[in-house]
Amino acid sequence: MSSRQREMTRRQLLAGAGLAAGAISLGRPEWLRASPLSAPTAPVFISRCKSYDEDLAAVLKPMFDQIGGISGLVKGKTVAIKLNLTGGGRGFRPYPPGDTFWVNGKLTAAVCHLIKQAGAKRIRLLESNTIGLKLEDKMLDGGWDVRLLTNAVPDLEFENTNNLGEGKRYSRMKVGSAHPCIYPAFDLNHSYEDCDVFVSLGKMKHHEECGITLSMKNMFGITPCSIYGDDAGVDEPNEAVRRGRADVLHFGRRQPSRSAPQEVDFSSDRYEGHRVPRIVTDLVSARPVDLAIVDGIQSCVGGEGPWVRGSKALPPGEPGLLVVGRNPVCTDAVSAALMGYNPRAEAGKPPFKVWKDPKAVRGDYQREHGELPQYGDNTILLGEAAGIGTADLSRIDVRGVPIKDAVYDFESRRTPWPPEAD
Amino acid sequence: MPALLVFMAIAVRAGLAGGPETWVPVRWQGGPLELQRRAENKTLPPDPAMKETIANWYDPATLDLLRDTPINCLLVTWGTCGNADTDAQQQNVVRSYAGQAHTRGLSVLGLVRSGDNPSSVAERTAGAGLDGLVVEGDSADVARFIPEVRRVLLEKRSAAVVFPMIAAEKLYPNPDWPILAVADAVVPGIQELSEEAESAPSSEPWIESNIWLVRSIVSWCGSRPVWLGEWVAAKATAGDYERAIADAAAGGGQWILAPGDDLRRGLLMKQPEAVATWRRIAAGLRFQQEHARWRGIAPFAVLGFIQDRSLKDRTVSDENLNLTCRRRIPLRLIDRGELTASSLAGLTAVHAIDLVQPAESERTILADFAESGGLVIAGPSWKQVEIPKNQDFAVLPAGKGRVAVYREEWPDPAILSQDLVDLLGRDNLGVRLFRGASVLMNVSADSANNRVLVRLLNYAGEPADSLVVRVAGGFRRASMVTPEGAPRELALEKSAGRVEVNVPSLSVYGVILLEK
Repeated sequence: MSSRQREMTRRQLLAGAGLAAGAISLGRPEWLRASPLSAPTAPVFISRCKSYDEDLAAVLKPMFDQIGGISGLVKGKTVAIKLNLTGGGRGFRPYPPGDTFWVNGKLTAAVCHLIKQAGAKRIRLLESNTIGLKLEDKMLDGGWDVRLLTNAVPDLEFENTNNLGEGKRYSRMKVGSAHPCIYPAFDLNHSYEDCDVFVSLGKMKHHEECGITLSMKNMFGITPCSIYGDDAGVDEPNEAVRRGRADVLHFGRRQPSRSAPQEVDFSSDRYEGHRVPRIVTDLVSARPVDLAIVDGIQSCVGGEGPWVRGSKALPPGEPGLLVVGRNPVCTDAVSAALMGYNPRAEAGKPPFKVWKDPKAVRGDYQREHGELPQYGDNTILLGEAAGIGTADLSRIDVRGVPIKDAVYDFESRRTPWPPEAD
Repeated sequence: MPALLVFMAIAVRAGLAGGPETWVPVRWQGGPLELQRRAENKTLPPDPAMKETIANWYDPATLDLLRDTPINCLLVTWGTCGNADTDAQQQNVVRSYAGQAHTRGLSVLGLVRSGDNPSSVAERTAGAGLDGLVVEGDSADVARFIPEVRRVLLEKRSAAVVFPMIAAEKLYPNPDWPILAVADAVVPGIQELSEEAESAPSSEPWIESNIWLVRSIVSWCGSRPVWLGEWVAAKATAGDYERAIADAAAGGGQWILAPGDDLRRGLLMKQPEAVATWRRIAAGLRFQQEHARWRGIAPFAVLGFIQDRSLKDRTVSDENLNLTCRRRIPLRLIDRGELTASSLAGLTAVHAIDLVQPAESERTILADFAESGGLVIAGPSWKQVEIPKNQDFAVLPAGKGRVAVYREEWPDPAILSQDLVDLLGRDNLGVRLFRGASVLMNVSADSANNRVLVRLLNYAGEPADSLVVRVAGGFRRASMVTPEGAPRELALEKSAGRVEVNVPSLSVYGVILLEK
């Protein structure tokens, strides 16, 4: 066993097994000792929904009502909704992205309609995408009917948050936890601060590096590449940035633009399976989620999009699930259970045993650090440890369809797994 | 005098079966010489039935395959191989076959190699009554071969035309070549990506297309036809053939149809699949013939792409043009020698990277263009300027417009083409395509942009669904024509100064006509 593997095993024990037991492991940093009992909880509602052609507003409305209603939350407020529109507009044929790996346009329209109906003053849709490409145009490219959205809410606003966007300055948002994992604060597009209510509308699917994508992982995309991108400016943001977040966020090969807060510990583990879940946790702590919605009506397995080897679309009507909750950790814990996984699973166990083709890792990770460890830490448990919410299903008030009756086994559908390497 | 004789000869032939400008070519190779050549280069199929098909291809019955197709020009195996018996046999079968073809109004060109004996080839060509010769081979050999062949043909008072099929970079406006034939075009389609390229979430498929190449040649060759001589795969589908036909035509050229051995054998055996493929090929060719007038419509453009054809190495310049087309930026080619203020009329931007050292007059034209609101993309010789460390260019204000000055004389074409989109702004491209990662377009318009023609070509093996084409302007009607179906009206969705047209499904090729 290499020293790297030994180290990984120890960390897995700390971050996975120890947390899974809810116990305090010796040698675990103080901040990780949060007791699950002290983490907040909130109701989560599960509905079956077999098609995006159903009356989605009619499906969603009772769900919102059952988690306490949204009127009190959004009335007279500015509501920002972070969508999951990862990657380009190419889908798993024959489905458009919005059916399988993006959140769906009709679902988004229904959410906007209900939020507007509940009295929201302003609704703004947010996602970070190619600079110069309007968010509406990206949606159109991915198969959305943008008019459906603007018909639902005529004054709907769209903002590409991959750089300064419409703002005059970046908003510095501090990590709420006393012990940030990777970054103490983030510089974000103004829209993440200029809102009273923040909604994460995520997708129920696998993820190449983190195991699963739900409402928390959706938050990774709030980071502007102008600061956190591979070609971000060294001192100041690069407003014409083009590349992704591999160097800064995934592998920590370089720091964000100096104008933004830097890492708390430059000597920390550089592996993306360690870093990305922690950065997501920091982000959820810095920009709290007021309403989490997980689109599991149709999805994909094996990865978060068609560019991931071994990924594939699920057929229409599968998994056929919709999940909402006020707490993103609770909502994701329930959603993970619906995917057939233990939301308290250790890193290295499904779904947190990942497989990434080593040839697909750009840069010098393997040269500097050896073999890819192929695990992702459990973001849900990290969120619990950060005190955001509980991952303990016994402490979550799960409403609607019981989990046991709604489980859709993602693991068995991503065969062969891992995909054969060349 | 020789040129006049050639011209008259062409005119005579044109009177009989149509001149080169009307030819719809097909590689129609066969006979004993074809067998001999394939044996030499080890491409002879092992299947005896296939060998028999090739050997007997010049049975007059194969001419029946051309009924109900627009094909009217056969490129037959011709030349010499040094084996007197084989050469004589080939001469006999082709002479007879050409006679039969002529009675059906078909022209016959001999495909010869520049290594053949030019005098012998010319004498046999005149004797067989062929309409011309297409000379394949190294461009230097071809340059030596053609004049000698032409000299003997003239002596024999033959009307045969002679032109080379060589690498695109070796073509030039030779007045003696009635057709510009490219030997090294690419097979259009989606290229398999490397693992690394595939793994990028926002990566686009790599499209192999000849549209840029044909447009480039068409821009300087006048009214002469441009032929592309690429081969599709042995097991090509009907879609592969349709794509090759449409790709050449979308740029204003013509693909030399090259039916594979399997297809030819299948046609002779009347296999349903081969017959169906042949019908689709014929429909694709017929569609292009029926709409040949579209080739004369000027390109719709926001970008002027200046080409310097005197550059010693055109590799990077050509790649710039290729990638600019692939970014779907509507452009007009401007030959460096024709750069005037009026040549830039109506454009938003000018790509002037080919002007490595612009002359004073060129600089004035471009500077005036920028002063009046245009964007000029220029190399470092434009002006010494401080370019920020992490950037490839600096944008200098110039009157009402801008000049983007690059650090490198030849910036990376991939980055430059992406920069162009950003500098122009996606909303200012005039025509935009959505949901069409595998689709390229070539747009033409009348001078007032009252009628706009958007050619859409899908390079993927499966149909492109739910395309959206957005065009700036207040159009009132949109219709679409495809090779496989009747014209149909498309619904227009209008909004602030533009229209959107939805195309439910695009198999391979379709043309949208928008009218104000």
